[in-house]
Amino acid sequence: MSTAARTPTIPAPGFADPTRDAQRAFRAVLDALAHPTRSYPLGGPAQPPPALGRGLGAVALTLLDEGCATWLAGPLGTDAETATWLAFHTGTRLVTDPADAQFVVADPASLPPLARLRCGTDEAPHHSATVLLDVRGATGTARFSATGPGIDGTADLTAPWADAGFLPQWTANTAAFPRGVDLLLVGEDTVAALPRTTRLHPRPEGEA
Amino acid sequence: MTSTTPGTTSVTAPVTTQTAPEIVARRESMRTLALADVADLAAAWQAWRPAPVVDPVRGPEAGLVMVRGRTDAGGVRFNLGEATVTRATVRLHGAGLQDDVLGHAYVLGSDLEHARLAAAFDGLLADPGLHDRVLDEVIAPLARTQAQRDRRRRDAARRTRVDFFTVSREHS
Repeated sequence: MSTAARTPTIPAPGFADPTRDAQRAFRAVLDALAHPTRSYPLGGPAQPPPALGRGLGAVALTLLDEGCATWLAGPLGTDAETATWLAFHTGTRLVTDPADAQFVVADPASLPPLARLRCGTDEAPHHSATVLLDVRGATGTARFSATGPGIDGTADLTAPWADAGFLPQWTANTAAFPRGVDLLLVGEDTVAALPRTTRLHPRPEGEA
Repeated sequence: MTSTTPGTTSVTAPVTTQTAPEIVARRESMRTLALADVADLAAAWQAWRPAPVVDPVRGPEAGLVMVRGRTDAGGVRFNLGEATVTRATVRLHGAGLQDDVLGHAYVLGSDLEHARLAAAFDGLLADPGLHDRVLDEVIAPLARTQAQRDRRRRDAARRTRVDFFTVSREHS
């Protein structure tokens, strides 16, 4: 990695097998959105930018292209290696205002209020933002129970990435249906999803 | 940008007078590498010492590009057809290089090795210490070979020229 650190302007390789690896990652994202809260394994590129990680790297290579605008939140936004890597492999346009972005890449600390993101219109709800949330190393204790399409009854969701302000924001997001943002929870090797149709309810601490 | 007739979308035809000389030079050498015979490229790469390490960054991979045409400078653009193009991007490091360098190549056809070798030489050209050596030892001989090949083809074609005395030639 010493050579890569010396010349961050040279992007690291992407997927080893671009077609099949992207199809596998796309399938994982599709499964995750079809079964909210459930985690699906994700295989990523061998040397992604460290700030992005393998999981986010795989999702970014799969979903982003030159036709979409992406906003990188917090420290990721100033990481030259990530910007170079995304520009080379996906061609996505990086924007400086989260309200302009179709894809928002953030970690729990840098996630802007969901209401600030694009949520589409009633006529075109698909013009909304998709948040790729980096949930690596999150240490919170939040737990929710989830209901909605794709969930048989209720599902438990352990959400170490969620802070106290998340639940009201998410409730407002689901209430605006068909408008609203979708959330992809991307770990190092897994992806789970919270589409705008999934309702979350608080779950008391310690309840089995 | 060139001015166009109303109704056409923006035209991004490169205006050579505004292009930086180093871009023109690189375009020329990339063209020479792309049009070279792959056996000549392989021989040049075998002979190159000290040999750097070549790591793939993207590809080589083959795909289709849409070739667009225009009937003249003011004509409306149309899709002429698709062409198979192979591209490669490599990172070079190790022996003889001042720093890691990146090389790109786009080559007509589906010869993956051709694109890889062309990208490797393009990377060597990006190294300030090796630039002139690559131009002298690789690019110039390849360009000479191509010029000879083109001249042979032109000569062969010229022999088939027929002059019709009843029709005046526009550009003779």
